[in-house]
Amino acid sequence: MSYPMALPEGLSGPVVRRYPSAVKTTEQTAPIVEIDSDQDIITRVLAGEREAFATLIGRYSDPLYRHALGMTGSPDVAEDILQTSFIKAYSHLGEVRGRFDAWLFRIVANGCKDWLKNIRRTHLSYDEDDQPSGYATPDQDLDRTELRLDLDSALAELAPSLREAFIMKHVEGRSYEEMADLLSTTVGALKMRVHRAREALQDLLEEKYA
Amino acid sequence: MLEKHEANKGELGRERHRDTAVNSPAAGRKAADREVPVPGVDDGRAVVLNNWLDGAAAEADARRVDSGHVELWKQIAVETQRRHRMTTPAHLAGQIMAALPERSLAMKVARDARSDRSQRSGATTTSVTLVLGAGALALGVVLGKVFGR
Repeated sequence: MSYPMALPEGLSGPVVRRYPSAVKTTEQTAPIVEIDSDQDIITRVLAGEREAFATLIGRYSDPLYRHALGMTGSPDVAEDILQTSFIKAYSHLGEVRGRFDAWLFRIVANGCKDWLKNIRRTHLSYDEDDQPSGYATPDQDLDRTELRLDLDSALAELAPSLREAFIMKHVEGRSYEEMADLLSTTVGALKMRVHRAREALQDLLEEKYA
Repeated sequence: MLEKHEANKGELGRERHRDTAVNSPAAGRKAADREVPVPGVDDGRAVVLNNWLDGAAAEADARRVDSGHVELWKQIAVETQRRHRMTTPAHLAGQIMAALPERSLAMKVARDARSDRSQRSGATTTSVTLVLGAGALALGVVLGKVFGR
């Protein structure tokens, strides 16, 4: 996975020149290490090795948490959705056909959509910020907090399908192909969703920030 | 297609610089998913900006056509990058493991199904054996009587 606004794999088409991503990433490609495949782990869990499921949790919880957090805007709700989803996955592990990560993603994504259908959000906040601040002055930190809240409010205005596409592209740093694979739709449709989400966010934020 | 486009035109799906969309009855609705080209949106400026955001154009090109929005997206990117670095709270993995059912339903169902099948299979074998035995005995008696005369 690359982040964010990374070059979309397989979208070369007529584009000959390639440029670095619009925003730099610090994420590097990890060296290839021999690890158990998801299927191996699932087989072990089904054979009774319950603790092996922790490996799957560790492997997928971060991107799924970011997805749930982006979709719901609430760390508590994101945790609940993640916990419920992993328990559901464990309980139906014998039914996995195909890629486990895509199957698990769909469980979490559906959990988020169900929550959005049932709950009207009244408050959004990202309180958890364990990253050191890259800003020099308190004023700039204040600006950042303000943008954070404004972005949350703007995201909350988007239709769920647009928000989902934007979060997957810009927060999770997925390629359009990966998104299409996970959401069972086409790259073209997703590009349209992302473009529309960007335009909507620009409309909401440009007066204050552009 | 145009009708669908118009029907879906919501507050955030409005086309830039078009006041009619803002004032339309649908203006209060949230943007719905619309996968048809929107006239006016795909202008050159938006295309270059989106290409830059997708990593397919240089920042200088984007700045040339829309420097204001480039600045906006650079600020947004700071925030999206921060969110990209967020990790699952440390306690969550343990919490999930502790909440897992002792034996998963799927495994239980599978085992129960296997058990039922083997029980049914055993009962069938016994019944068939008994019937065959009774049949052989009856045949023996009949044959004994016939040849015994």
